Amino acid sequence: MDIQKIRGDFPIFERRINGKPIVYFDSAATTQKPRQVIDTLSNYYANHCANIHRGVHTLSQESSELYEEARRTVARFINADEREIVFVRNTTEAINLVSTCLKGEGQILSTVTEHHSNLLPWGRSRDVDYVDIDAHGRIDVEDLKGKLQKPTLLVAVTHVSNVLGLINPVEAVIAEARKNGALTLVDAAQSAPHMEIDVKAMGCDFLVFSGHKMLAPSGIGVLYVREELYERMEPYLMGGSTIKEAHLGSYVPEEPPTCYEAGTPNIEGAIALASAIDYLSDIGMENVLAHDKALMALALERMKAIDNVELYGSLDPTDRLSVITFNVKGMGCHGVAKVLNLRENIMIRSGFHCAQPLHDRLGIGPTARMSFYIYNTPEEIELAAELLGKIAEFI
Amino acid sequence: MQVYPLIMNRLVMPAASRFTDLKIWDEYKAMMKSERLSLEQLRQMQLTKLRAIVRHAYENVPFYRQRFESIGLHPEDIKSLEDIERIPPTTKDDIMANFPEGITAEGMDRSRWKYVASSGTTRKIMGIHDFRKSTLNWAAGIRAHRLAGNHRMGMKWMEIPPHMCTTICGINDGPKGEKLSTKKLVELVKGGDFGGAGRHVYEGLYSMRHDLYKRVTLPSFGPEGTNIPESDIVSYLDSIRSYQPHLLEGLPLYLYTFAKYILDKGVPAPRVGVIKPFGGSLTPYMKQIIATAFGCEVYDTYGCSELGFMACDCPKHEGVHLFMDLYHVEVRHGDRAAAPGELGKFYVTDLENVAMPWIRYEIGDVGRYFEDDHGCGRRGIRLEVEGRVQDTLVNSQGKFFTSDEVFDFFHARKEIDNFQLTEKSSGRYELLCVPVEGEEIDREGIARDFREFFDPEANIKAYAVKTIKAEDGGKFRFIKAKGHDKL
Repeated sequence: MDIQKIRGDFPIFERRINGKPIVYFDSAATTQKPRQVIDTLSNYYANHCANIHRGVHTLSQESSELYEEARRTVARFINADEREIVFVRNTTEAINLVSTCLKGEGQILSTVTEHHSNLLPWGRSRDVDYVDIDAHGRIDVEDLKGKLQKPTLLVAVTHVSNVLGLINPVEAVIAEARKNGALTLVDAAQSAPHMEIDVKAMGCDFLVFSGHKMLAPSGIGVLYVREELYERMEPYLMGGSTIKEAHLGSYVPEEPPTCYEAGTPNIEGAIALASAIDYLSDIGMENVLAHDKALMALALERMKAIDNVELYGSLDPTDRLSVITFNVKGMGCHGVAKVLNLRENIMIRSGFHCAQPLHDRLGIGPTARMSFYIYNTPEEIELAAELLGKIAEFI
Repeated sequence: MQVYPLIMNRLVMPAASRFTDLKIWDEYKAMMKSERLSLEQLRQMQLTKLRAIVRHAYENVPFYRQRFESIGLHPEDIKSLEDIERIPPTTKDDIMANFPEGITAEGMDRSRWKYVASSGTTRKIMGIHDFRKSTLNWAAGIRAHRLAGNHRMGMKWMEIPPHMCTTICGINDGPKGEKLSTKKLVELVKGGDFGGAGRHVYEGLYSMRHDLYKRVTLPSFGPEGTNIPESDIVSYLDSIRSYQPHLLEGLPLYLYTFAKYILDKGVPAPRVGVIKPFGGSLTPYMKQIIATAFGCEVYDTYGCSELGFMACDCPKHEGVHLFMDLYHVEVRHGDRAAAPGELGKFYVTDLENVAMPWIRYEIGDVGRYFEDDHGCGRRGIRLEVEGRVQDTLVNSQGKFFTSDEVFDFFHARKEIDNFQLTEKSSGRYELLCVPVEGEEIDREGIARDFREFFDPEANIKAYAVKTIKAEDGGKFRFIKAKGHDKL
């Protein structure tokens, strides 16, 4: 994997702020976009722009074909069937769709480590209980087993925590859920960009992720639905694309997945997502993962050595993926983020990262978070660690 | 005086000064003496301190050393207060780009330094106070309360700070002090570590300062913006009524909202000794409405988190008197010093922060200064702070209008409850108006009057909205201007 070649694909890294390059460590929030994805978008607008599924003219047919090919690309990326792929705006919308459309009785089990998007939708109209984390910060499977003793409709669990970066034992969670007759939803927003995902091998019933965290534009996301489960769901948005025929007072519903994509969808977003997937596939997800792991090991090693820096979650690099969360003692996280930004254009995130219950559970306030991706280099981590050391060990 | 404040002022604080290195009370007494100096004596004191801080910065702070050398300036060249103009201003970007090691003094004991920071996230500024600066700032706070409103330590104090989003974003993420522990104190004294015991007392008192001050904090308006539900206003007023604070502090907009409600609805005002708006600009109109509604004096203060308490009002209410023993403030119009009463930008030099010197700091405020003796007995120059630099409008004739002036212009209209004016492009303005209940926005009247007040060529469009949202950190910007860089 040639990082310099990869960096050359990202126009944003040509930008200089105060004469210095950008060190982008906020990919868990959103990633930068390669020229290939930007060109796909431009090409769509320049050559193929038309609404899909409703026209017999050339542009509409081209547009429809590109959109459906994007669906097939996504399906192959996670080893699903194309009928199992619903395009949505993002992970949040995907979870809201499932929480609204899925029929059935029983509690929902979420976990304390979830993003707000995998907590709040479930509590609106269902009983929800929360699985705890273990001493390392991973989902506590023993606690899950206990909580599954109550009738449970679904277990909603994140694959990789967006705060701690820990890879959760989702296979064990899915196995336990299945044993107890519960469905599972895996939030793969932080895992799909970094590792190979095989929904069949994993055995989940739903899996969700966002395009913007994996080089694609904002406003496009994916909901995987195990095909048999469409029987237990009902669309919650009606309109164009959701019906085969409509009359005053009656209609014939469209088949899934189209019936869950009411109205004109984000056509160019889906096509650009497919382009991003192609880009990642060309690199190879195994290489992406290896690169992430190497960066994480280096970052952990450097940051552990800095006095006054408190790291959260397991310090074993093999447990983690691409995210490292910390605080500098005596200095607020927003101050740390600001100093890194203004001194060396190192862009990190600070706050609760939309996971306040996890911060509460850990008994900590807001935190600073660095997150890495394919375009980050060991030199950037050395630079950040050096500056962080200066700040943290200063007082 | 009530018993608790008496104990605090006559016993606890003097005892802390005598028996520990927490010399707040001694510093406070010295500061109060400086309030009786003549303007000439104060300037002489400023010059002595200015020369010392410039020399210290040159000798110990990399940023300043490099800056002074780049312009061929030696500390000995500073012979008068005016000579400070030879030093280029220090911007917020300068501070943050060199923070911490490049902008702080080398070779000092850093064990009792503390990070301080302005609120918010996007415009956050970090600073460092050493132990003496922290002590001075604490003393300056007591001084400001005493001089502006006769509030003494231990009298009941209620505040409503602007910080929104404390739970979601975690903006209030400052360091927390160690709690006072008798066991630890005994151990330190038994071990002969009297310095450590003193430090522990300081940390303990610092962490307990809200309790010691009888200081109660109410939550901010939050994301609702300027116009919160009536039930929330009633709830705030009930809390104030129930606590009966001697001192009520809050964001000017909050206090103004309560005042308007009291006057509009004719409800009895809570009993409050004195009101001090903080965290935003207090316009003359707001001040008048708040004073009328609450039936008490409204005192203004001036300062910021990174520097500290800088100035406070006097009973004559004609600007805030600068603490000249602690700060030097220049007011500049373009590339020259502003004359007394002339509008300009403020540049502040902290005369006491040796850990992290702030020399000609471009603080981002605009206003005027006055040096005449207006008869209150305090001879420090007076500042009229009229808003932020980036909120200052300039018309097609090059005339500047501060946010205070524009605020009072719009609030004088009977149909406008709150507003936000944005300069979209040169000469084109967008006005968001929250109408007063039962009133309609007079778009044509607003456009006509604004052209007359501000600029005959101004193109302004008004829109009715339900609320004006707060900026980052919970503060409000009522004017968003583009022409301020000409100031």
